[in-house]
Amino acid sequence: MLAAAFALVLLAFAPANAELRIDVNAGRIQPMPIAVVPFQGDSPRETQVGSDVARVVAADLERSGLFKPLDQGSFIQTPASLKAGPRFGDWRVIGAQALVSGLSQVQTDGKVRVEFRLWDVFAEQYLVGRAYFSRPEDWRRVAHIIADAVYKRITGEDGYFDTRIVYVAESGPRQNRVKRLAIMDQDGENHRFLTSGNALVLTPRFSPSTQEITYLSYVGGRPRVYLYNIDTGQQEVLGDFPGMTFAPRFSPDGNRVIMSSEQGGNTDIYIMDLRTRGVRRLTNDPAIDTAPSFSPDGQRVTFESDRGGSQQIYTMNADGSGVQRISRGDGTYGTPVWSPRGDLIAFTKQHGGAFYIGVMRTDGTGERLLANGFLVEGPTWAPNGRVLMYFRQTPSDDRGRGATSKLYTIDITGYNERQVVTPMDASDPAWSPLIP
Amino acid sequence: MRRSMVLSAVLHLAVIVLILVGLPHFMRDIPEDTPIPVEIVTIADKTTAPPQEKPPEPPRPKPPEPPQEAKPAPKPPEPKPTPPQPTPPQQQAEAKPEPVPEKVPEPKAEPLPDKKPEPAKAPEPPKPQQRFADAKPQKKPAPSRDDFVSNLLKDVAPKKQTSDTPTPTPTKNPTPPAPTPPKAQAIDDQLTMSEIDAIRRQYIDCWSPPAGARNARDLVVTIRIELNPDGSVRRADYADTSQMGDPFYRAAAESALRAVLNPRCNPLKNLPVKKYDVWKSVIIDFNPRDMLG
Repeated sequence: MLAAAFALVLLAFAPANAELRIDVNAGRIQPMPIAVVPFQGDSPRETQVGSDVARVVAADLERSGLFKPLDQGSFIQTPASLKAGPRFGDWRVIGAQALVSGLSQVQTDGKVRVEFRLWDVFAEQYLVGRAYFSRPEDWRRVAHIIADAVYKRITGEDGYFDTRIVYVAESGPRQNRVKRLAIMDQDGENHRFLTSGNALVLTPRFSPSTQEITYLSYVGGRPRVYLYNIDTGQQEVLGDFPGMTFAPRFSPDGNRVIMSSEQGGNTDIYIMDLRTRGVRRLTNDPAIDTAPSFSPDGQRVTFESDRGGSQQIYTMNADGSGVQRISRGDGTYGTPVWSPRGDLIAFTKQHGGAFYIGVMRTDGTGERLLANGFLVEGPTWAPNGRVLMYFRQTPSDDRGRGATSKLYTIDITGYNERQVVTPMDASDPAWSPLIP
Repeated sequence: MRRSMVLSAVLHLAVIVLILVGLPHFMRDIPEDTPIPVEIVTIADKTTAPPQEKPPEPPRPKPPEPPQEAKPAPKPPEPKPTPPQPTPPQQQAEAKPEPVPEKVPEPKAEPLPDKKPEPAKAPEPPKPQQRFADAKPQKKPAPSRDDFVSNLLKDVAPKKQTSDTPTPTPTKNPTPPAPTPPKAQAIDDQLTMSEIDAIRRQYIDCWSPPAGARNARDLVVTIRIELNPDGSVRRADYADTSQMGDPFYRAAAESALRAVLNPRCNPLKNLPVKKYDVWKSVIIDFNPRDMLG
């Protein structure tokens, strides 16, 4: 207070003709109004592809919560006249801050060429533009890649639209639940099942190469970690452990799998090199150590343990040294997942009869709870570390019976919670990296 | 006997009179020549700035403004002690290789040349007002409550849990902008606190900071603005372009420039015309630190 008063006095004697300087230390975080114009083509087919691509680009951007695509009916400048360049005044007057236009062409070899251009309306500047060649059936991927490019140019972060989700699709009565692995694009399209449902499956995780998934399956009644190749459909048991293995996750380089193994009633964390199949034990504690997850640089591992009396989150070096507890709040903490961006750890928290999905910094500070409910579980990061997906069980009666289970996404700011539509009940989502 | 009674009565009376009249007079110690500090703060009639001490006129109707920003307390708000912010640990893994669009094997990408290279900033004449007929001249649209995002990071933790966390959880209200101290100079060669505040509030309404970006709170952007007499932007530039290679900084910088060029803030409203010389050139620091703690 005194210092402030002193500063005030000092400033009062500052030269009168100093340049006017104003500190704006607040703002209103709002989705950016963006105009996505149907991409132009010469033939009806090209026009169809162009408007389909523009529709998917707009839907991707809208779902992120950071953009507000404007109604095409409000556009003043016609898409055709955009070839000569945008009339920025026409876009400013309808409130657009950014403009995406494009062209689509079907080439003589049957491939589709789609190009887009992104403009800053207020600054009247061209920002970025690219052209893509693809098979006609891959037009959705092209749209996702364009949406990623727009997202990256405006926010500075990589996008996450050209990604897939693998999850556990659930059906049937509660006592005899059928759980199958399923995969879909991040927007719910191109859905298909990967496993038949004969054996229970849990905790699928993507490899950084995206072609492989590791997961837990109860084939023959025995829970073990498997590896599944999406392209070939091949699956194999990972390692030959005496007891059961679970909670697998890839290392950032994709060459190792870290997991828990229960042997003689004690659960510890192990790491397996996928090339040599050599196994190393990382923790050695009579408590249950599980749910390990690597930091993106591969140097650290976060995991959950009840070694302190209650289930909490810990971090350690990748060789098992330097263990320290990072969760300090009330309640119990579990399933920590290190953000691909490296700055945060997502977790599930149980406290006061409710479940929460939250994030904290990697030293345990800055805890924020983003979602809560009867049961929210299984956080997984979008590859840019900006969005979390998880599943939420909602009981259909007061006694918690007949629960439905759905997937949701939420922005790490804690806003923009959206349901991800799946054909049936869904749990245990895993977000792929950007498709290479 | 009688004389002594009278004497006694007179003496008593004298003592009483002395107490009633004399003593207070002796006790009163008016330091007549002690200067009483009076701070002259110029306040224009349109303001939501925190009222200074003893506002001469009755409380004015509050114009719409960001929620709970200024309350008509009789005291100027004390600068909120900013809680010590732990340095975000996300320094590691900083340099991400720029992903090239060509990484996709199937759909091939090629960068497009800018078909029509636009001059970065064409100095433009003041825009005709009717073009932005929807931009209301006087009243600022009150921020709607159901905005997708308020100014903060959300936390669904039950109230009492905030004390659990070792770091300050984001508060629900944005820290009110620190009042810029007025300069004690002649009134016409400076803006009043309320005039400065009016400019600030317009930009608060137009600026959408990059909330979820990595290290978002450290992305402070300075914009130099030259204004026309009608308040429209003649020229707006980044004061520092050295960091524009960082895509996060560039995104933050562009968000600041968009705020300045946003038709809701361009032209700036309610500027005192006769003080044009004071505000024709302004430096604005867009600083999200307080919001994103």
